[in-house]
Amino acid sequence: MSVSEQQGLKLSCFMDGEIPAKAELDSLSQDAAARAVWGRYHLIRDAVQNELPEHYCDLSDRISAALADEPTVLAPRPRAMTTWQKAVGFAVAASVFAVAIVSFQTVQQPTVESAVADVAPMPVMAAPVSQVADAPVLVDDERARLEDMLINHTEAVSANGLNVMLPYARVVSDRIEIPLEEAAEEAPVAAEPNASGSQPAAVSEPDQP
Amino acid sequence: MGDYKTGPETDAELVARVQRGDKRAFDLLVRKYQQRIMALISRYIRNRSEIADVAQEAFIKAYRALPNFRGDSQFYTWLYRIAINSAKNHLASQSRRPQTASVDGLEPEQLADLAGQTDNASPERLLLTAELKREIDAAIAELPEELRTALLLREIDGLSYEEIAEVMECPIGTVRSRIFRARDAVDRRVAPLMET
Repeated sequence: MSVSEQQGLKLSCFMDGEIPAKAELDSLSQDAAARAVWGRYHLIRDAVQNELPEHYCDLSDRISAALADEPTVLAPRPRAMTTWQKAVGFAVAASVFAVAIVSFQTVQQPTVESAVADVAPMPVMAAPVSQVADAPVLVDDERARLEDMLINHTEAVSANGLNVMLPYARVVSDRIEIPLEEAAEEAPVAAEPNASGSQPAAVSEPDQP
Repeated sequence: MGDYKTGPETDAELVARVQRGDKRAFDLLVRKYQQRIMALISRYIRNRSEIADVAQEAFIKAYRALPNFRGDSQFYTWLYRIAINSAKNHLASQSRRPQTASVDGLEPEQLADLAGQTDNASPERLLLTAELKREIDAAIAELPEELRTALLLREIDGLSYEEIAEVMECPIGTVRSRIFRARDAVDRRVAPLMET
């Protein structure tokens, strides 16, 4: 069994990676003589590269016979998108993008107050530190009301199982008032040497108002 | 294994054809790789008839699994793994097979099977194998020098057609023609042995 010179040349180039045209490959694969030549060309290659088994055996007929009863394999091919599907996809993407842009601009739109502030900025004078420290920030009633609100909020959140130890501690510590005289008396006690005899770090006296 | 030994472009084309339902394209893959696969399996299994059976089983498994082959690895690498697994499974099934029968009543061939020394290939077939190798070597040695050089640069050194053209200082078309003529000349010596 042999093939024409043209077919042999095509088979030779195909085994070296040059893919023939579809029609040519169809005719080669359907031609039993061409398939036999293809097998022998590879046998020669295997012999040159010392890849032949110790004992030669041609399995192609056995395997073809075994596969004759097998259902033809068909791999699922990825579906190509139609023009209509591409258009719908583009429209959805464009809509999402437009909504995102509008939402962003709405959030960033300046309020009337901030617009006025932008147009006529008020001169801000930095107050002296002593004035800030001495100025009553909140009236006592209002402060007490806010503290109660904070505590109620903290308890409510705590009842829901959330970790609110830190805010609760802040609220409580904010309510504790330590007279300056007591703080001044506690400082020297804390500065005494401990049992091991090591010197504690110096504690600075609180500033007097 | 270098790409030039397997031709990944060729395999990809054939695999795509099989996946579209072309069984003949799978026959081309079988003819291309059967000797290498049997050489591989023979490293695991000594019994010669079992080598052929396991190789056939590996190719059939590969055919059934081809719809799931996505080309992430080269086809030959994938086929190689299937063949090794088939050989290992075969060995495992052999080791699980109960050896309860007495050897007294067995024929010499069955005894040889048990010892793993069997050779179901006929003496003619063994002669053919040795003769095949000898004929191929002799045919290559007798090729005109430019044909032999082109063929060996391709098959042993793995050069592309472009590289061979550069080495041999000739057009690529001449390289194609020389390699084909070399294969054709060797094939004319081999083909009569295959048809006996």
